[in-house]
Amino acid sequence: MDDQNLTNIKLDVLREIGNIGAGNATTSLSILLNNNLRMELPIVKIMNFDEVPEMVGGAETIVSAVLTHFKGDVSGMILFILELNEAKNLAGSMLHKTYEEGFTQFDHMDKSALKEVGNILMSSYLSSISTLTNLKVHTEPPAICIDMAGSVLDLPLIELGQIGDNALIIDSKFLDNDEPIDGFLMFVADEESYDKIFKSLGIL
Amino acid sequence: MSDIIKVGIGDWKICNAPDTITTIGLGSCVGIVIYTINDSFCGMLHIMLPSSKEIKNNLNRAKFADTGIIDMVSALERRGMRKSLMRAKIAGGAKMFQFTSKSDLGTVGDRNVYSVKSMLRQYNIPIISEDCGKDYGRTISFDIETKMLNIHCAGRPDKQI
Repeated sequence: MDDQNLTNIKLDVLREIGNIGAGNATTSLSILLNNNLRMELPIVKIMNFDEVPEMVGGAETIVSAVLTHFKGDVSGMILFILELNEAKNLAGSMLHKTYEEGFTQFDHMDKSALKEVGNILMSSYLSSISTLTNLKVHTEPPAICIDMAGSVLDLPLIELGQIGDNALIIDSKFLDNDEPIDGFLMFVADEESYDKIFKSLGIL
Repeated sequence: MSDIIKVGIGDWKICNAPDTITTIGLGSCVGIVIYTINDSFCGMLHIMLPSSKEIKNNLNRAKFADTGIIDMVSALERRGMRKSLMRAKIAGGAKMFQFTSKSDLGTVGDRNVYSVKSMLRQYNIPIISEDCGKDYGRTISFDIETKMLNIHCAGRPDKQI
């Protein structure tokens, strides 16, 4: 089997894990938001780190990012990234409020709501990895940052810069009563952690 | 016609007037401009990590405060800039995420700023102005004619240092 095939199989596996994880997350979020939330099949891709800000419209685009470190048998970090307007829609639908145009400072409650959504999504994704692979993973408390995409992403970039230059993107679109909430999860782990995941699933 | 020279993450460039030089979205990274009063060119560096000695994957020397500054200063000297006249302005090194648990990486911004300052001190290059730390991202651009560094942040007025 050539490298390309192996990579495709690995991407399929990660997509399936993403699918299961996001499926679980959608259920939890539906209950939390008390509405009809659905999820489209996630797109999984590996990107060079410099390209990630382009996904949200460039390094100066304002994004909301929730970041959690995870440790255990596999370690790394996972981020839930939303473009500013999507963050407003999501926080607004949770807190029953509307936000003004442009860049506004989110208050503590808004940030806390977004952080919790991120926490649920990221924990669901990690727990599906853990269940499928039998590997132990535990998360640390998340933190949120709302700022320019370039500056928000430089901490994961720094962490990744010590081990490589690529990130795994799980791009999942959620539909809130058929209104799309466009956000994505970014999974950053070292090579050793990926090897452990694939090995435990019998792929390596 | 003047152009805008963009410096990427973990990179440095030299810029000639009337062009301006910029680097976008500094979070815990640090941007360093080195210039003199008389020369009509300057260098800008965008570093990610304090030291190349702590990391195995250190092939890109511009990623690190120590090797990045060494390389940019010698490139500026080759272009005819006198080391004794060099001045610096620096910005960045923010703490973007406020983690409740203590994490080494949460303070990488501080360590970056510390390392940049100690490298510049070794070279006797004075820091004329700085805008470092806090919890927000910065886009910086330098005007060689006025020697002013413009700091742009989201949701805040621009300032010149």
